[in-house]
Amino acid sequence: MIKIISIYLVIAIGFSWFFPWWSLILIAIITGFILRTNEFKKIGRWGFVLTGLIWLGMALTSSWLNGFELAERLTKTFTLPHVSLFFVIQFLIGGIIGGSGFLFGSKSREYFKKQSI
Amino acid sequence: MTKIVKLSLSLLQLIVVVILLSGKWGPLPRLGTFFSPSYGWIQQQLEQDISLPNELKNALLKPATVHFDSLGVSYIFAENEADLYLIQGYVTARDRLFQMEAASRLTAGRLSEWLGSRTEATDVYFRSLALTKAAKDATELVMQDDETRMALEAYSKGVNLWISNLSEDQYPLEYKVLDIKPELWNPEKTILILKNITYTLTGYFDELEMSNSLNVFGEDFFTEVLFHEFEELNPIISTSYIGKLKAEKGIDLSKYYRAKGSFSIFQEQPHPDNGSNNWAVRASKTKNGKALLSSDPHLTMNLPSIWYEQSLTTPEFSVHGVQIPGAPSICIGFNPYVSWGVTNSGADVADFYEITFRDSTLSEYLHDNEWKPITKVTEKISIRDKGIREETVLFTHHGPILRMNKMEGSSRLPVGSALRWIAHENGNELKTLIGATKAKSAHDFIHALPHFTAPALNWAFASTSDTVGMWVNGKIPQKWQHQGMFISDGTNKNYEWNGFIPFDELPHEINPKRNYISSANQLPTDSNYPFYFDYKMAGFSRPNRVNQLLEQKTDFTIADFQTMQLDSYSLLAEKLLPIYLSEIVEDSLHSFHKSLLEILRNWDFVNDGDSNAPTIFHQWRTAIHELTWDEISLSDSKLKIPWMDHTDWLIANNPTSKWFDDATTNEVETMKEMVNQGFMRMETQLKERFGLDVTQWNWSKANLTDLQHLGGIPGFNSGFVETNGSGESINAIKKNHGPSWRMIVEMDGWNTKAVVTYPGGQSGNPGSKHYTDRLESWRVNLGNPVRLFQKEDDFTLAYYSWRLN
Repeated sequence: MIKIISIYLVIAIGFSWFFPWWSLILIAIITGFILRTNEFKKIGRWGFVLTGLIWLGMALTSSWLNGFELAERLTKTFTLPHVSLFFVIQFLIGGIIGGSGFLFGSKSREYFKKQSI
Repeated sequence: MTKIVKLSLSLLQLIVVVILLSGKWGPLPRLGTFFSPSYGWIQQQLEQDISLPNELKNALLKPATVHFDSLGVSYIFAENEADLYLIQGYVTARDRLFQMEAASRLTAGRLSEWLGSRTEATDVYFRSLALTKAAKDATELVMQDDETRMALEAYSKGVNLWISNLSEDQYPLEYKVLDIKPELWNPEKTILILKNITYTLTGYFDELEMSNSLNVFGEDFFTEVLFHEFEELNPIISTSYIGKLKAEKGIDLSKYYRAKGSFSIFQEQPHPDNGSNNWAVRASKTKNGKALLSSDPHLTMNLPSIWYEQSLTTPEFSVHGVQIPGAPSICIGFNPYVSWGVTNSGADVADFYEITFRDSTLSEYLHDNEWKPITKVTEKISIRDKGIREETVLFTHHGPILRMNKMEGSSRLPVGSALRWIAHENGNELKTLIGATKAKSAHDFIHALPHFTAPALNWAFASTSDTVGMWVNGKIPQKWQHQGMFISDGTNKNYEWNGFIPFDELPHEINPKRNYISSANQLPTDSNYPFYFDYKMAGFSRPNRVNQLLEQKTDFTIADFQTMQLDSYSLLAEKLLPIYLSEIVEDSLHSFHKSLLEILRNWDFVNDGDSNAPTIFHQWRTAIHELTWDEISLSDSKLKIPWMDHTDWLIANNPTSKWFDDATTNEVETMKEMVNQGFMRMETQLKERFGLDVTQWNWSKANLTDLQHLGGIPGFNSGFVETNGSGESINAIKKNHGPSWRMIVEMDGWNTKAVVTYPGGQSGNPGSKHYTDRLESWRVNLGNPVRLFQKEDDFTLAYYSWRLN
């Protein structure tokens, strides 16, 4: 399972940086499908946290290089009280993309698995 | 069973997430795309791609080189003009695409396609201004000239080269935030940009209020208040007119047409103080024996900056200066032979004519005793998320009808007010700009001026051959005294424009005796001049201060002009404050009040940002002004509120004027009461705003300069900028309005040197280091030294370069 997760990580980083966000959902669904565990909490969590961290990591790195100037500006654009909230949103959005993709993928596998018996 | 439920639930959750992230929710951007690292805001933070653009290389006729300095200013070296303007279009689009598009859409009344119903009223107004038609007609004219056609087409091609190669992940941030896409450019859009300049400098219309006031108050309001100017005002031109022209016999104020309609005033107006400073001195007044020129145009200081710095060189000419993004060539700048800068003339080149319709079909109107046909044009305004709104604009021979009103009384026909505006006049302003950039002498420069129809500007220039000059240039109608000040009789030809002032008769001077020229938006001439410009122009304080300083020395340097551009002395305060202080009655004043008076008494009349004295003085002046005219401003707001200058004049010259009297009280108020009541009002207002600690009443906090984003997007502003100055000082910073470009040039052929700065940066990307990197140097006026280069290998300060061959 660790292997699949690591492969997802690499692919998700690539897709996050080069392709539209919805393509990442497809990757997440496929990965969720492949993963051999049907515990809701684990699947959703992996997808959510990993993808969220990828998006947050990319945001933080590029912002740090930028001196956080743009992040501070966009915080005001979104009328948030602090820039950390802006990064929280960044994490959350990446997270729900990965989480919901993983979840649907794994529930689909469960569904088809049962049918095949 | 439960597996299906679980599957369905997870599918539902997935669908909800997809809808949430891909939908457009109110003003929010599409969240999935905006936050995605690939297509969203993160991309804006990356270092700008400085690699050689192959598509640009392939589009050129000949090899070219572009050097970029550390501020992101591009120095274009091309072998022919077509390549030059193509590259200029490309780099300008790269740095300022949103600004260009926004300006052209504003002028065309097409913002609602982007922004929905919040810009609907603005678009309706701009459609009625009929600038798209004006731009279309002007484009036809500009295309007839080989030189300007080539410039327009090449520039447009360059812009489109950039746009076509733009992928969604590289869209400027505004496009991502507002969920819009760029549209291809064309020559007409460039002309729209130029029309926008005319709108910005001549689009402030107050004829409606004037007519309302004439009807309500009668002539006294004008003869006793509005027509007065301080006698000591220096006109722009230092000599008196000696030509032979005369205006037509005019119509006296007592007989001037009284408008029948009572029109509501316009909400969309450009800033009334769009003006500037410029001046130049001859070599004999300089330390280095070389003519010096200074130019600082005053406009709303937005981000990105209204100006874009640029250097252009071909084997034929080389020029450095600034341009408005969207137009090729250079507006204000210098070449080895000539440098130039402009200020707004403020001549009244927009007039309103009351239209009498024949019947309710509104298809004919009365003019010169004949019924003439009205042209109706249906404008279709596309409003995002709402649909198409149709507006019919009615045209007369004067121009479009901007206001309609029902008349009081028995008649049920509406009354119209049509606009005759110089912006509807065809001209080839671009030819003047290109001509200026190529000028090899003051004579060449002057020769290029007449093409410039609008807006009328005061052009200052200085040449390497030690010629300095000022030419009030543009198509200005030959008006009689006060012609067009009010809504005029649209049926009567006597109110119409009677030809334009011939170029040679426009106010001008070259190498005057005083060895300097200057302008600060004041009246161009003394009363000897036969034609009328406007009832009021800039007050005496700023223009006179410029001249006062220029008189003082004969060894000016660039550094002296830098200091002068920052001069925050107030001749106005010097004049008014002693009057205020002599009128204040101290008997019933508390110690707090007396402390304020003490601060004022110790003030040196400098609008210093650190000082609290300017805050107290300016608020006092404002309070006196508000109190004097509060009956007008409390009325239905269709009446003309005089300028503060007018109140100043009454205070100094007619202290018992009836206009100080408050009609609601039994006493007769004079200037004394206004000054004293104003003092108390000011004290209340300042305590409310800043608290009781007077040391916190810094003028920079009161003036509050914080440059806003062009599109008003929150967070994209500069933040508080600590500044000195005030509208009546040379350093004319009034909140966010002020010196949008500061340039000083020392004329010396190919060794011409300049120091330049502006509040902002070359890039319109809020994530770029070049968004506001010049703000601080502008604030303290320690600009960037620049010079001219004959060929590209002379340029040694390249941060990076494109060798396009």
